[in-house]
Amino acid sequence: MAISRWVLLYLQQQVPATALAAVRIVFGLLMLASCLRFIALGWIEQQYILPKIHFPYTGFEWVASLGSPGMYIIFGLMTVATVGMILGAWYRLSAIVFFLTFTYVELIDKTYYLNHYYFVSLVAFLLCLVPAHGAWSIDARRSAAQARTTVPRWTFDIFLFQLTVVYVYAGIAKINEAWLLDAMPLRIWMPAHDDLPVIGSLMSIPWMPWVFSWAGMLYDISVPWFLMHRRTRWFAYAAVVGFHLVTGMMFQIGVFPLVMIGMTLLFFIPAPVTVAPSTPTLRPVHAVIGLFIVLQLLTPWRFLLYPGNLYWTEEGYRFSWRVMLVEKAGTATFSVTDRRTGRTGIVDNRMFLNEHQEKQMSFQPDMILQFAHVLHDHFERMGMTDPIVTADVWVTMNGESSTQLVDPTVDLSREQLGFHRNAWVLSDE
Amino acid sequence: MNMVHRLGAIVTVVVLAAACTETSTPPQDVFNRQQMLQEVADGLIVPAFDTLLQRTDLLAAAVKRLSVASSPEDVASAQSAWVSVAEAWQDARLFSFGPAEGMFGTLAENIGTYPVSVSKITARIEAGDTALRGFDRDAWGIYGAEYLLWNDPLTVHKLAYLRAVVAKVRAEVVSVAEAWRQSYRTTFVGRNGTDPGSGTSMLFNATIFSFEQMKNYGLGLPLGRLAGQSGPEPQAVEAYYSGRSRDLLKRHYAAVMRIWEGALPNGTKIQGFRDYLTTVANGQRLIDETLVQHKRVEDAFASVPTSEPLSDLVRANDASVMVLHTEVLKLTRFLKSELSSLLGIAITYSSGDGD
Repeated sequence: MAISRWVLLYLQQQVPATALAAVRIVFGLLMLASCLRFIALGWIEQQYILPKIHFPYTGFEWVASLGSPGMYIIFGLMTVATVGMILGAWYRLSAIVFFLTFTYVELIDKTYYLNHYYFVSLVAFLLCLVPAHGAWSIDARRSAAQARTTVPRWTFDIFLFQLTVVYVYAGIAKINEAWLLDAMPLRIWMPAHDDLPVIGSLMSIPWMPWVFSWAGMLYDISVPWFLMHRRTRWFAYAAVVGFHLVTGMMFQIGVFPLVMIGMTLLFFIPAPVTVAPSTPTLRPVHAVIGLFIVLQLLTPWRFLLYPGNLYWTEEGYRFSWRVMLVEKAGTATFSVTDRRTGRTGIVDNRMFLNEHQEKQMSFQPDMILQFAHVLHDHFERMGMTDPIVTADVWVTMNGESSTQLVDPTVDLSREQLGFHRNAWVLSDE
Repeated sequence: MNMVHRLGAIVTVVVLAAACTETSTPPQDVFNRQQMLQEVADGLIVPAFDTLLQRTDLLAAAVKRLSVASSPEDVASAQSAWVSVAEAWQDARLFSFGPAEGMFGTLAENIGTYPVSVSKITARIEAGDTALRGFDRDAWGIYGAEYLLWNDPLTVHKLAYLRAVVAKVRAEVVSVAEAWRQSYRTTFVGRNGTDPGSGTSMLFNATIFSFEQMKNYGLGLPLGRLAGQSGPEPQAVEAYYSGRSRDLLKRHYAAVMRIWEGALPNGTKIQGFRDYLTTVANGQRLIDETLVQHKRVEDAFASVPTSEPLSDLVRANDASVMVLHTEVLKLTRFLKSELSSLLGIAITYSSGDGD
């Protein structure tokens, strides 16, 4: 049993508690800045209070916005929890509160899904499991029982693992024909940013999208490995900063560049390995982490279980580090027909959705189906008999002519949401 | 390690190539967004609000001349002053951003709401109200004035209310027109990026929003084709009382397409989204497809009978109006999702992070 022996030896290894404390502090500071930015921009109201409907995730339909003042209280708790994490005060409670409030907010509406929000939820989850308050913390000062000089090596390594997963999978996702051979969607996105300072003039050079596409792919796949080696670390970090600054200027990705520039600092934390005197006993947390690792490695591949073009159907698309990979936009026109009288009417989407929701819904099949169900229920309440809901949805992908995404003859009100394949989604061929 | 070094060298070269490329030779076919914004501001937006203001002044003067004893000629002259205001409004209504986005709603909401509520107007007239407070936008505005001008006989109270309505329209228009003439033009032209809040993005979003209003509320609602309606609603057409609906609708559409095409009302060519499209990948393809559908819409407009007002056609479920609505619907994706996608314009008004 070489593997189990290796695992036990690995679990016996320790690193300084300060290394893990640094993770806690860096992440806490980044999240504090994110929370304050989100609140200051008025997004709580815009995204979680004003919208009439939301698009919850499959299996989480019970998650609903608390409205006002509930959502403000949630963000208040979240912000206080980041301070708790930074200071290491009531650390476990702070980490759990942050993880729960942040993840709750993300689960309300998939309109606002971002890979980096998913990353934040994952890191927050991991922070709930590790003793990151063993050093440089108020908890450790207050109670000798909480103070530590070393922590198990895995509690630190798991964060490096998570960062590596993000980059490498983002790189693997870029290995496709459109990205590497057609330089799409960068060929669309780059010229739109010719007004940027310093790098603006690069954006409209015809062959530059290919350089950026290939550089982006190679960067994503290789940068964690270069960060792990001492001799290439500074060079790799310079690339990290450069890459994220450029993408941060080009795209509206908010705090994501800052989060990655901050979190990759973890590779610099000296974590000399020592070996604990006693053999570790396996605990439930080890099983949780094991399962976490397996899920992280497998989840991005789940799209293989679905037929058709992943980029078109988006079945198995999210939670897989597919970042800025395809340019899609759609125009969706819904019709509602009274099943008894046969009278048909067209829906003005904006009566139900905000601009952001309409934009995202218009090319994502699961959101189209959710909206169809909302329309069915709404117009039934308005007095229509069990309305038939159909959708005429035209989607353009990477600048090609629009084609129909959804079978316009299918009554979407009869189709079920779930993880099964959506037979009513048309092929892009 | 050797492998690591080699990969490192490759990445270095690529990153350096990306960072240090010769920047002195400007690319040939870059679209000048700033020029487009300038030409649209100076050729379309500022003149549109100025004309609207001038014509509102003429309407105010004509309304001032009216009395309970006015001759049919005086009334007809005020009505014709109203028609020229409504025509000017079609050119200005698209630009519902910047100064037109007030604390109490957009200019389009405040002066362009239709159909008006006859009961609210009647109640306010009976109460002798000329202060026009509150949010009953369907009790005043351009279409409130229309109802009063085509609803004889004129009474003292009605006249006082009409004058107040026109004065309110003027007050709204004057603040927007002045803001554009003073500082906002520079602000608008200066924001020459493509992010939310940029001139291009605001112009695009406002134009598409106006186009969708025309589609849904200029045609869809009167036709009874919106979900939840039980039949046609002829009184919901724009300019029901004057019977100018068809003409105004056509002007509204023409104003939308002028932004796309890049043209002044007199036909002079300026830079527009069409020119922008010629400089991007797959742009010509979209231009051709848009023009095919645009032609279908124009043909559909031409097939709508001019002998009867739109409200009567709608009441009779006229097939030509149905066809027009359908063709306008089909144009949506070319103007909305495909255009913004190819040009990389942020389609949302407010900002938000994307991944």
